[in-house]
Amino acid sequence: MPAGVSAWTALANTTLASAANTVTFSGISGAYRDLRIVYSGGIGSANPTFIINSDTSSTYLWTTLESDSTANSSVYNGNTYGSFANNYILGYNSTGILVTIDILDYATTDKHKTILSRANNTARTVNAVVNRWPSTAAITSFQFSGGAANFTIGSTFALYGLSA
Amino acid sequence: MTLFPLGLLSQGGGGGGAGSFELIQTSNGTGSSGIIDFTSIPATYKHLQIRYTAKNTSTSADLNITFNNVTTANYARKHLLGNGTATSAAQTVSAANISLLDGIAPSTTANVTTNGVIDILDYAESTKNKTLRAMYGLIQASTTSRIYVASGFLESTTAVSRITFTASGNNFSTVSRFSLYGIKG
Repeated sequence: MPAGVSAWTALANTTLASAANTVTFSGISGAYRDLRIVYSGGIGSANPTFIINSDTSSTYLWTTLESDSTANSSVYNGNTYGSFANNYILGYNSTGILVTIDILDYATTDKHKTILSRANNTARTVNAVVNRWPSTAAITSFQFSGGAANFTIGSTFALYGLSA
Repeated sequence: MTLFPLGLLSQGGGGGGAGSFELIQTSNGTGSSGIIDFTSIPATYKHLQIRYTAKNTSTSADLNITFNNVTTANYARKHLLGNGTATSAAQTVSAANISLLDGIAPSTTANVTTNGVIDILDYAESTKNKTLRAMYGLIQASTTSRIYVASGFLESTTAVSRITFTASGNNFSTVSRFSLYGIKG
């Protein structure tokens, strides 16, 4: 990479014009080293989750470090999707939720994929979560799911690639 | 459902203006060394960020960090930990390095790495002591998974021109990778 060139490339972004239950980034190029995904907006009373490469048969595993206004907790859990929270439901407000996600070495095939996320809901919780998707496959798609609730109008989703 | 075939979307300029976040150097584990060393770091940036994925050649290890090859007992570290069953906090002071506990995954669990992002703000300023913040984690089994939020400190106002990562035991495996970025200010 030439000096003076930003290592970040904006790959995709959208602002929801209507409520949606899922948002998917597909066809992700393997040309970068890391991915960063940013979600800002709102969702009803539910925890947004994610699925990689449409894989709903593997067991995603996660460990959390969470707090709400009065308590904190850590949970180890797993399911057929990944999660940005566990004990304290992230979704609550129509706005005010921010989730940043880092996926290092997303395109390499020599390791499982580790997903680091930080989530904030200014009215509810603070969450730091590590997920592992138990696959060595390169990530080519990433789907947000609202679960039992929808992402609200105006929610934004952005995907960046980082060169190294 | 909203789908985004990426080839149809605009490119360029993410994360700030062009040139605001630049790769300085990437170093990979060799399997035969427990040291990743970034030397001669230019002072032309405002902040630094290190993004790493690490695995040990044997047992789990801590990731020890020094600045400018300083090994006197002037470092400190505090962290919050979620271990899957409870949260906790701990610190070390008057230490010879900033030790990120469990910062390197063991070789025993196939395909598992510890991943982290470390920020060092105002690394080149000579008016303040040096601090870092880190978030890192790994997922193994229920009793050996960790998520950390940590801060580190060196009581020194000298500009940081060298950052050394040392495995507390054994070596970095070949799947390990450390990338150093500079952020313009």
